[in-house]
Amino acid sequence: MNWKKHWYKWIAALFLLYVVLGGLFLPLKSGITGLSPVKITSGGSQTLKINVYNAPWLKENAFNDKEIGQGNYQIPTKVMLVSKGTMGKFQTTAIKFSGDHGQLLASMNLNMGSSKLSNEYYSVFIELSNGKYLGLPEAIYLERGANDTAGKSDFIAEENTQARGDREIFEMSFPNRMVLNESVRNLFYHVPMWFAMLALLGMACWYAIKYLRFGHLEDDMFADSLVRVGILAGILGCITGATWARVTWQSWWPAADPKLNGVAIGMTMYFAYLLLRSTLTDPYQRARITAVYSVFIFPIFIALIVIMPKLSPNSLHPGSGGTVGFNKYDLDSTMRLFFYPAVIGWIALYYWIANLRYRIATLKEKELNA
Amino acid sequence: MKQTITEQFDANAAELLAKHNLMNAVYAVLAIIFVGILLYLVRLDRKVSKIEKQS
Repeated sequence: MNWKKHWYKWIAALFLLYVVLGGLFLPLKSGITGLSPVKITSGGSQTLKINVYNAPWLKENAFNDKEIGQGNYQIPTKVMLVSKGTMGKFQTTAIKFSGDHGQLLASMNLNMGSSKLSNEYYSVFIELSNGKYLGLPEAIYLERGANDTAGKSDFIAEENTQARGDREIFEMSFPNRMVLNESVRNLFYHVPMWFAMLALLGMACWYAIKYLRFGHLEDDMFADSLVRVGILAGILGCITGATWARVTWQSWWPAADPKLNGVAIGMTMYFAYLLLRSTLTDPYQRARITAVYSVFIFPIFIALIVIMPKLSPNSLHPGSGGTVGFNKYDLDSTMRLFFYPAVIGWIALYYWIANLRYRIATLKEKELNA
Repeated sequence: MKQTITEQFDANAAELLAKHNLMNAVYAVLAIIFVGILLYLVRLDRKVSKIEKQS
């Protein structure tokens, strides 16, 4: 076995095995996935329905268990509504199961009373008996009811609300996000398609420059194979992205998203590359023209799919405009443990395919010349 | 107690979210990638066969 020659194939095989298995089987962190109602008028006692996902204490009938609070069994002890603007919270210990799987009912007194509280968004936190929190930021809008203007307030003012800065200790699980939920795992399958496409097109650009500098036809052929397999990665990225968008953003192709528009234009440029290449017959002319073209369009492609969406104020994609990147909520870096190997693995796999295509193309060239 | 329209909507949304298992999206994405790469490999395979026939 020639390790020096085959190293990237081993990386592709091993990393992708690790990423597919780990990405599919590691559990998601428990978290709050939904809330009802989302708008509340203050005054009197109110009941909140909170949907919780993947919490171990929902599977067992933990409320009746004697080992509650010792070891593995954690139960919710408090439900809090934490305000963003005014430091402080409403809280309750009156929590019960609704009977529905994964749903909690929390009753709390919500009197703003005579204290100066404005209508605003509150984050919801469930405190567990081990002192950890499940939270959903800015989930509920609280507005002052008509009768709720005088008397005692149930709002507990605090200088520093602990729930906000609290961090869970390291455990092997993926962050739980509203909307994304389980599909957060697509980070290892959809996103690396684009990384692989960029890597392959970048390499193609490099080989195109090499051809222009030294004039070896092999460089041109390898660049061509890289572009074609890069386009394959791009097409798969588009289709997987559309599938993911359908279930999370409720649209196959949210046309307002600058990243999607950028990709549409960028992919068209590379389809034009294929067309251009197919019209030229003389190998040297073909090599020179397409090399120049691919050196030109690669930076434009980067600008369209990486830089432009970052500048735009209204992208749905993470890490651009008003949205946060995945790194913001992957607190204990479990996702990174899989995301980086995924990127490397997919790049290696596509490079391998491009290499195969290049070898076939060379064989064909030899046949023609023989 | 009568539910208002907003409350009904919230309840429906919560229910939908709970029933809609997004794990399927992950399987779909993996399947698409697998099929896509497989189709490309089949195409490459045909190319090789053609060359083999010629020689």
